Amino acid sequence: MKKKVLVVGFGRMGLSHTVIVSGILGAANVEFYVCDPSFFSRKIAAGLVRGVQFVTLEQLRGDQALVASFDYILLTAPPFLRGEFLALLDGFRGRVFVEKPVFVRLGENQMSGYVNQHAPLNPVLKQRLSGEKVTRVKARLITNASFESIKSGWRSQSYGSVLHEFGGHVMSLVGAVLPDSAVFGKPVSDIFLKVDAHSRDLAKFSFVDGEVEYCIDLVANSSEVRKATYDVVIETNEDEIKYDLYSISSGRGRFATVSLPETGVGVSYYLRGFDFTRQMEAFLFGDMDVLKSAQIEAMESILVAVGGGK
Amino acid sequence: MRVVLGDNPFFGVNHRTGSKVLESAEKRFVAAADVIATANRIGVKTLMLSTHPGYEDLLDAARLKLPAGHSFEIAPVVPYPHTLNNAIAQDGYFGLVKKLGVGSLASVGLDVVQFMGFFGSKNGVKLKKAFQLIIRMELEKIRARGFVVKHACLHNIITDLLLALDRVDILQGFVAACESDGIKPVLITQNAACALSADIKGDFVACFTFNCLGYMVNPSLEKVVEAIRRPRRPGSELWAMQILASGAIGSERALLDENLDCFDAVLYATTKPARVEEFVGALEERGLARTALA
Repeated sequence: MKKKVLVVGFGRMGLSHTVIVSGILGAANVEFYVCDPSFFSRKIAAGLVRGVQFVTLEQLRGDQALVASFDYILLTAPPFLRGEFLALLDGFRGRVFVEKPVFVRLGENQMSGYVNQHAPLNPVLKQRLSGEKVTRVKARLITNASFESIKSGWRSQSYGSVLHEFGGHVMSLVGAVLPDSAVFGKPVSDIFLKVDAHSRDLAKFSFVDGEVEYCIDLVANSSEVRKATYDVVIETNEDEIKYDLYSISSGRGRFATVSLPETGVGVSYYLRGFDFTRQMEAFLFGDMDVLKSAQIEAMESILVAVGGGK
Repeated sequence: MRVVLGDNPFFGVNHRTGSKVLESAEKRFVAAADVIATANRIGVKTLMLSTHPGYEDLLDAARLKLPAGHSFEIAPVVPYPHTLNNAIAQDGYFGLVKKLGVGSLASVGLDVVQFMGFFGSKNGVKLKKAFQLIIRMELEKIRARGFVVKHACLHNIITDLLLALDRVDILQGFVAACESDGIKPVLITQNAACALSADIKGDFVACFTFNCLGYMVNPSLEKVVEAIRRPRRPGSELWAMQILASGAIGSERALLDENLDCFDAVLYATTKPARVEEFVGALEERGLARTALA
């Protein structure tokens, strides 16, 4: 029996996730429905996705049976529209994917779009850190993309900044590799948050959670790199472990460097990276988020506080 | 089996390390020109080249190092997806339209209008003219710099997007666009088993990652080996990329893999001219050894 998938917001991420879902399940095994008020988006969907059907928000509002008929919902509309849509899903039993940032407490059948939680080397690092006492985490994102230069569309507004586009990616990556599941467990008022810099293309902040100090640097509009790159340094009592999604190395030579190619990793359908496919596999038939909903909520509240909100 | 030069290190693309600070384009392209000149001298006559912004500067640097009258081939990879992705991220799909330019779109208007579903097409949508536009924009730049073009390569993001959605008809449009310009289509994919089982007509090259570690060999090494060992139509070719699994294995070990016999070409990428010579030497030795075994 075909799976019914509703995609709410057929922009860049809606298209990307649609393709990966189709690749994983097989195009013949899935029926896509798209809800998007944009004329261009609907035409692109009609041109690319065989047999796609369109629904309006009004139809979804007035027809609970229609909403209940979907197996999966991909909520990839801009962030400021998601709350309203999620309110329609009271009692929905299928799985819901909410693109990041989510800014809500996700329910048991809801999953966030923080894709770095699903990087294939994360479990290797988590295992490596097991039993170690972590004292400090320094995480840096550097990207060639510029947010200052975005002058139109919703990304030109408050969510279009390196803080909101990448802050959650960096912090969810950190949360996914640390063995302590209590990370991001405290309210912002209790973590000694210190903001050193904040603009659309730069954010530097630090905080203390438990006995661990976290230092986060987010740098956009850099000509040093070709694409977004991540550098995480985890200091323990015994070591300084470096991780960049592709390799894990010991600063003190305590173990041989582990590189992604040596793991021989492959995925059921590759489009944008292993992590994107693994994320959709976790959504379709896996354990959803690595982090708990409360952790994601706390993590995002830190980002909002850095941005000057409450 | 022949060698095709890859361009990833010339643009700082590395699947082994995530964060590598880029050297200046000028330094990278001068080093690339040395690699290309060495490759040309020892008979490696093709570079698969992604159409990164500014790739023309690399060609200009290479032209200075190649002998007059060279017949070095550039196999352009189109389109460059990050440019399209950024345009959509910034201004939505209309941003993409703006990026392509109204004048360009006018020439492929019917194609695009059909694609968007305004007029049905009983034979399916192919976007042949749109692909021709994209290919010809690069052909003009490359040929104007004195390079030969015999192949055009479809970026794996596009190939794999279309395969996932079962839009072989649109892939067929790329094949037809290449055929009408007298060049051979190369479909780059990271989903080899899926690509090789798709019903794509015409002579084309399927180019995909293959290495004995199984790294990026999707969905699995076993399934891809099964696919490459199936009988092929005459005129179709297989090119292997990442046979060294991004440097995780040495060429000696990689070339021991008898599955490489199924391929017509392998891609090799380096920033060091001496390594091209070493690799070609190792491949020739392998060929002699395989011939002796046969």
